[in-house]
Amino acid sequence: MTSTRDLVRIALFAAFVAVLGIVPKFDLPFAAGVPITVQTLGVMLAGLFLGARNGLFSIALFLFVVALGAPVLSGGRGGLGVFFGPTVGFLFGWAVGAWIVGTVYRHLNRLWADRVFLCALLASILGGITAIYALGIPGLALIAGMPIEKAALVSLAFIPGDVIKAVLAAWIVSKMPQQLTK
Amino acid sequence: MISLYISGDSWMHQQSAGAKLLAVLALSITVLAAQSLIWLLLLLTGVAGAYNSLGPKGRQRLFALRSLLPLILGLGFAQGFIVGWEAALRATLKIFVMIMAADLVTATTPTQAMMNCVQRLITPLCRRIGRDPRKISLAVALMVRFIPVLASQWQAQREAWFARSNRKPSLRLLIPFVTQALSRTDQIAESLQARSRAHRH
Repeated sequence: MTSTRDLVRIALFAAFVAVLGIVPKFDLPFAAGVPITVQTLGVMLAGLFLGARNGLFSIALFLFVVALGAPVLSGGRGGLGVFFGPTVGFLFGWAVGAWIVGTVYRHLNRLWADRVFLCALLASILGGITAIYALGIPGLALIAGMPIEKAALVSLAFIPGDVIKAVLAAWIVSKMPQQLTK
Repeated sequence: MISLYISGDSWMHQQSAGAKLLAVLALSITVLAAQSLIWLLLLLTGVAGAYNSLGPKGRQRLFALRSLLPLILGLGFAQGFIVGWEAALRATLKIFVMIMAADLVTATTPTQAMMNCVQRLITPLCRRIGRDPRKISLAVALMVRFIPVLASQWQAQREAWFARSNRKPSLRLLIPFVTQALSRTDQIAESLQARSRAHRH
């Protein structure tokens, strides 16, 4: 069962992803020129802080509110339209990604309990980058009707920004007081 | 709540949320299967006409979708070079028709009506797996309330930074930001629980 505390935390991380999208320049140094969304930082953090199941719920809640018509995707996008656009695969990838981040982090953490940064970094790369692209690229290929390897090529431009976000997410978790991440 | 809904009472507003959602679903399946360019152009004109029938606000909304043009046209060009121009044109038209139709539903359905429609759909499902469907409404309400709270908390921490330093705010600020947000949510969870107990006894 989902406890009240879990429920509030699920809502918190969903809101965090939204804030990362609506604050136009979130004082992050890599905004200029590179076509990235900082929102996937929220996806990684949701998986790391909430664990697999609740991380998934959190992103699902976020996507649900997007579908209800809230303009909380970066650039003020939202509504049902985005679920028929070329980036729909990435959006569903966020939910699966948060689940994978949580799962990988929990298992790695059991192996190397004292290496929080490394565990969180590996989890963020596997779930927050690999898993998201694994769904996003086929989605792009399907909706835009292009061959899958070309869709992959188009998406490559976003990878450097994603690596920075994974490092950032891992760094945040490694600096947290331990009782808050439990 | 900030929403992409446009208030009004056009013929589109008068349809129920469920009917509109079903219509978008049916339209999208048709569009994805469609091959003829003329058929797609007709559908595009039809959806644009529906926006037009909403009056000036509708036309404004249609015009606002131009922010999607760079992405979709960019994809269209990439595709033109890769698989040929006719296929590229077809795919671009399909994307436009689907996005425009779905956005039309968002524009003409109040958030609450959409929410109620979803609630009706999931209630039997939740009952079957023994969960409380009202938790979903609570989660949505909490999330929507947290957005301005988090935004102002970030703002406050930025200002505190500027009071101490004349440099640009550093990413270090993210640590107290997340810490504070997490401990605040724990307080909120405690008070929610306290109230629910007060209710029961």
